Amino acid sequence: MVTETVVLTAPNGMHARPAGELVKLAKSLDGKVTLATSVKSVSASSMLGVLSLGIKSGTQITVTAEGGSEQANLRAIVDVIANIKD
Amino acid sequence: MKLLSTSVRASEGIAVGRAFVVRRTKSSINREKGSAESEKSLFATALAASREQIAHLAENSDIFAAHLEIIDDEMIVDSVETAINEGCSAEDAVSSSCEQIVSMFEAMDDEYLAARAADVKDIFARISQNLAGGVINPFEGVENGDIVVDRELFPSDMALLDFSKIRGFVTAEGSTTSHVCIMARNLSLPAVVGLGDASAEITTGDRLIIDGAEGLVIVNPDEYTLNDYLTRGLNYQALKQEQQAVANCEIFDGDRRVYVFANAGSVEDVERAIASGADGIGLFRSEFVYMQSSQEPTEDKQYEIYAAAARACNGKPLIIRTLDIGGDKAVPYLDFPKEENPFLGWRAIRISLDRVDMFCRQLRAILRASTDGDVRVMFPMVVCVDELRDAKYYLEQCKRELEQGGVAFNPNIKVGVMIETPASVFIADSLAAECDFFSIGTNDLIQYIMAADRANVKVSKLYNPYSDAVLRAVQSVILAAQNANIECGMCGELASDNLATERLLTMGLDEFSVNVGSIAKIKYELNKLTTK
Repeated sequence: MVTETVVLTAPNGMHARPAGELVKLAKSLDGKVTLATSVKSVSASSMLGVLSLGIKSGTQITVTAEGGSEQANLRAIVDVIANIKD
Repeated sequence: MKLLSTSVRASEGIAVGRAFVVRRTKSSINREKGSAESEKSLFATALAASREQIAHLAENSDIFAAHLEIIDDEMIVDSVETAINEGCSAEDAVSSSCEQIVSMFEAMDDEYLAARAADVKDIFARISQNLAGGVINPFEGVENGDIVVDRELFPSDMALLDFSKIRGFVTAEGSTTSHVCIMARNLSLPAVVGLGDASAEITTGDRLIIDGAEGLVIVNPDEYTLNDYLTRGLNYQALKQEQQAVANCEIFDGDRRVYVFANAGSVEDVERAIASGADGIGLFRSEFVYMQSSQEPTEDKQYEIYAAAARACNGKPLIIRTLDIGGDKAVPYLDFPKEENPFLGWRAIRISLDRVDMFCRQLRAILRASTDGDVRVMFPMVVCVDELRDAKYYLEQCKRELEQGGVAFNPNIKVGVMIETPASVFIADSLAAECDFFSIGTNDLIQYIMAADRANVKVSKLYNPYSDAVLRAVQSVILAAQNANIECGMCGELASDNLATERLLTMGLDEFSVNVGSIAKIKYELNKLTTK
């Protein structure tokens, strides 16, 4: 199990379009990835879950990858979050 | 006779009919709860049946295409199966999961996400019904000419309802942007939503009058009221039909083309306007792009929105007004000083020319979008030629930057001035010599000319669009435009007033930019005036 913390800087927070892209990527990975905020933790493969985190700009997100190629999966998800720009 | 009313404006029109109050009875099958495994398999069967139904509906509906994404979400399966493991029957597990997920979304302070609660409820209701043996049609018993009354209407209901039978909707919940309102407007059915608990006063069989424009429901009206509304309804329909018949036509006054444009505050407005017959967008208020977020929108974000609006115009003109804030509109990321006289203060082009970096981000975004359609740019609140020259200087600078970066744009983008200050009226000839079009913003112009705030009831009678001073100003601006051979439009509310149409046409106005709801009305008026 590997973990990394990333801050979402996109001004509009985690809205539907980037959340959709994130979920699509998470579903394609060979292991389980979870996202956690100070409030709760959800599976990165669940659109309802990701949206329900209600992530606003500036929120710290802890990404955890478990199983499969953990390091690569973690990297992929963290990069996607860090690169959300709108 | 009872009167119920709401301030929500859902879908205009008048209807008289019998109330059909929808009963949402929960059907259930009496059975012994089985093992966790067998409960899970019952749920899996109901889920599969639901998925199949939604996939079928999704073939021609974006709403159901979105439901198809949601129903396969692992959160739904996880939360139902967890409840079953804890000892629930499949039915109880579905309803408790639904409550849990819905409350999660309803609690969000984001309108888009809060609206997803309705989608989740709809999907879970379908799964519950499939568990109980199949989808129930809650509209069994709807008769021809009924008005459907419900707490809340869902997308799935829309798929079960025979719209040709019904005359309108009344709901307790909902806002202007609910699915039911959008659907009602698309079908031109009158609707009253957001009545709250007052809707409980209606029972099936009551005679109802609904007036969507007023947000009014009259239950069991007396004969006088009924006859009055029957006549109003007929007149309304006849007029609407006549107006609709000319909504898409091109208007010519002799050889001169006269355009009916629309004012828009979002990309959805643009779509609605073009679908309603607008010849273009005469005022795209870019403020909304700035006001919906806590930070200044990036150039890319702005470009996306402007380009989407341009594409929605289908080649018709899109006039983007650069940021017009200040006065009574503020944004958190600009440090607005407290002003004694905000309407005579730091606003519109004055801010843009002070915050050049921000202004250039907007201009570059507009320029980039100019390859997606007939995009034009317009500057608000101009009071001297230098302001226009400065704004054009920055526009040219942005063009050079884009050119150097190899980014495509329309080098001949048209530049316009919004005429909304007395100063710009007096120097209209000088401004006309250096721009491509005018648009008269009557809302501010009238209050500046008459020195009267229309929100102040003590002086609002002075705020008179038909006063000599205002009409002479409008006429002189149009003449200045004609002398310089440029087009002159009007985007204030006066343009949407059909009592002013004849006068403005005679003055030589080329373009009427009106509220989306007034397009057909003004086209109808212009058509009548130009073809007689």
